Order: sequence, then structure tokens, then C-alpha cells
Amino acid sequence: MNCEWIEENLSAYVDNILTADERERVDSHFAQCEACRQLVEQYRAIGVLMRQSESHVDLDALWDRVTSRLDEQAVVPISSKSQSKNWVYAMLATAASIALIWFVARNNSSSDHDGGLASHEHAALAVDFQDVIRSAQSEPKAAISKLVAKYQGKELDASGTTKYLGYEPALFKSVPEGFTRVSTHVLNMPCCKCSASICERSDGTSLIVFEHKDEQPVWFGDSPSIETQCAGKTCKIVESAGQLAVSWKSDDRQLTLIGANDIAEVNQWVESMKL
Amino acid sequence: MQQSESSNSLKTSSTGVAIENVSVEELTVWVRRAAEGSREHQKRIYELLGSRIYRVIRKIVGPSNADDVMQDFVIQLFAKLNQFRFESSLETWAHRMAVNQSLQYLRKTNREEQRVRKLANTTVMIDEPSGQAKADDAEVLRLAMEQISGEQRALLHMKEVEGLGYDAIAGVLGIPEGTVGSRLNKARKELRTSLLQLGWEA
Repeated sequence: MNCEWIEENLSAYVDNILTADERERVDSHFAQCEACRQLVEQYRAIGVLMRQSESHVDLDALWDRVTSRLDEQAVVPISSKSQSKNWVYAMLATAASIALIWFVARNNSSSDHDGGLASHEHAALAVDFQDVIRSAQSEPKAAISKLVAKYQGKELDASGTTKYLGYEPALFKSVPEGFTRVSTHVLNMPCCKCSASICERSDGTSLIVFEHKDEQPVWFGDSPSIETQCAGKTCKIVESAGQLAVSWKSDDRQLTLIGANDIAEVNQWVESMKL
Repeated sequence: MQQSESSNSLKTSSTGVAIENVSVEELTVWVRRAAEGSREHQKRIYELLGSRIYRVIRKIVGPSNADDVMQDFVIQLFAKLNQFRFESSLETWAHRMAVNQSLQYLRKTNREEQRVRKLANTTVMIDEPSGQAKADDAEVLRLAMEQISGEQRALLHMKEVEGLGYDAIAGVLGIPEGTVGSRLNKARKELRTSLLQLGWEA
């Protein structure tokens, strides 16, 4: 056994992962080699020094700084380079109009170790509804028809939808006061099976509610968005043509509302969709 | 070679709650609620993981940058919690994110360049006659640590301070388990050299 072999395997020796036989050979080398013996002592001493040098961690002070940043995040647009806070107030004050907002649903799956993707990656991986919905801005039914054509969709009744999805959409349990569910379509999107329901207000205008069980968040592309608390849930909101598109998670469901008039309506829906 | 069991004396959080004492069901609720923005559950997760994560971050980026990187990490962690699928343990997942973020921070700030410069200074230092009082061991260690790479600091910290096994270290760093031993060996060797140059006496 030469010093070179010992040196190469000294870490394994210190960490106690050599076989009994290898270990024995190292030990017998130590008996006759002062230099290697000294080296292993130093490696062990490094470990001791490192453990002894660990100083106390004050987590409380840091938490205060973290929370103040989290609080800031809740009111400041998060994904825009040029947004100002005023946008939020402008958005909240927006009056009703019947334009649909485009949205992009993310269809790739991300694993635990994969963090965020750059926005251009989202665009490449996303299902883009922009063209479909823009062409039918004043007519949710036409927008649904286009999605149906694109994603082998079909209209089903309540029990048929539940059977197709394998769970009952939260929407079927209740819709907020003042709304009536008009129709539900199921869509076989790349990420998951999804239900799309048209709900009408008493004045005849309507909005679309998407619901799916997969954990994939819905992406609104590069559109400026804010994250805020609505009825106790973290909602991601984008604004377009005076209306709001909102996505939030409620228990194991991802819900997306397209065409909300204002934040009060969003609150109403988030509250109502709690299982 | 046989794998040794890893022990971990630093897993207990600042509040005294060890992650082993939190049931999977409980943790699942915490993660979900924290992802939804519940401050209370975010804090619980922070307290559960914070101390261990902070130490590894501090070791990699250095004490003066640790607070900033830790803050960014925590914000990032909460933003990504909805992507956590319980395929690995929350601790391992968070740990990996923290180590990656710290190494990324180093790359961004060109710490490696500074490392080389400091190495040059050190060489000058040891040429001088050793008349000064011997610096405190912890300070010597800190200086010596600056002279090895961020990944080497992470490796040594996980092994020596956290007591992780080679498999767990490989998981955090995303490298083959078979290379952990040789990299650790190299890290120990380089750190030893730096320590001795700085006047450390084992």
C-alpha cells in the first residue's frame, strides 16, 4: 500500500465508507507512515473546526425582512418591467365591458427540482388561446366553440362532466348569487382534462370558468399580472380590455375565471368555489 | 465500499421542532397553505427549514452576503412551493434550491475572481515572517474557506456540519454519487493547504 493510494482514499476512510478490508489496509499503513497519519488527523480536525465554528443563526430578524418583502409583493405587479402601482388602482376601477381576455395555459409539467422557466420558454411550451379568444371578443360561446374544435372538446351535462373528469367540478356545487351556469364543455388539453363553463349574469352578459385538477398553474404569458389575496386565496390577476382574468388554487383545483368585471366579482367567485 | 448512515445534529429548527416530528399529512397541509399565501404556514416552514438552510447558504456565499441570499431564497421558496410534488423530501428539495441559488449567486457576483485575488494576497502573507498573533481558528477557517470553490464549501459543509451521506450530497448537488468521494477528497486537501498556509495548527 503506497501513500498515493492512501491519499486518494483518505476521505472515504474519514467518512467511514471503506470496506473492512480496505480499512484494515489503511490502518496498517498508518502504523508505519507518520505523514499519512498526520494527514488523516488534520482531515478530522478540519471537521471538528468546522462544527465548532458554526455560529448561532438569528432567524427572527430575517423573517421580519422576508415578510415585509412578501407584503410588498402582494400589491406590486410582479411580472412587469414597466408597470406602476397606479395600474392596480386603474384596474380595480375598471368598468364592465364584454371583451374576453386571452390567456395561456401552461402545458408542460415541471418536476420538483426544476425551478422557474424564462418567459420565452413559457411561450414555447404554452397553449396559446390568444388568437382563439381574441377573434370572439364579444361572444364567449364562440370562444368555447373554437376551444372545443382545438381540444377534442364536447358539451356534457353535469353528470356526464363529472364522469368524464373523474371528479365533480366545484362549480357544480354552487355558483355565486346572480349567476346561472348555462353550459359546460370538457376539453382534453395537453396538461389535463379541463371543464369550461359559461355562466351568465342576470343582465345576460357572461364569463367563462375553467377548472382542472392538475397542479399546473395557469400562465398568463408575459401579460402584466399582480398577485393578491382574494377571499383568502392567492390570486393571479391580469387585466385586458377592461376586464379581469384570474387564476387561483382552491384545494386540489386550479380555477381560472375569464371576463370578470371587477375585483368584487372575483372575490365572490373565489369564495363560492371553495370546496 | 459501504455507505454509512448519516446522522444530523442540526436538523432541529430554531423553535425546537425537528422535521422528523412533523407528519407527512401535516407537512402536506403546511405546504399547500403556504403556497396559497398563508403567512402562518409560511412561517412554520421557514422555522422548520430556516436554520439549516441559512447555515449552508452562509457557508457558500459567506457571512456578509448570507442575509440577502437567504431572503431571496425564502421568497423564491414560497413562490415555488406549488411545484413541490413530494417526490423527494421537502428538506432535500429546499436544500437543493438553496445550494443552487447560492452557487448561482457566486457566479453572478464573480466571487471566483475574488477568490483568485485573495489567494494571491495569501501567498504574499505567508512569505512574510510570522510575527503576528495567531488569528482565532474560526477566522482562519473563514479565510481558508474563501479560497476553495463554492461547490467545495457546500460539499464540506454538508459532510462535516450536517453529517449527510454521500447519496444525499449527490442528490443536493445533482452529481453522481460515485464522484462525491473524490470531490470531497480534493476539497479537504485544498482546504487543508489553505489552512496551513494561514498558520493553522491542527
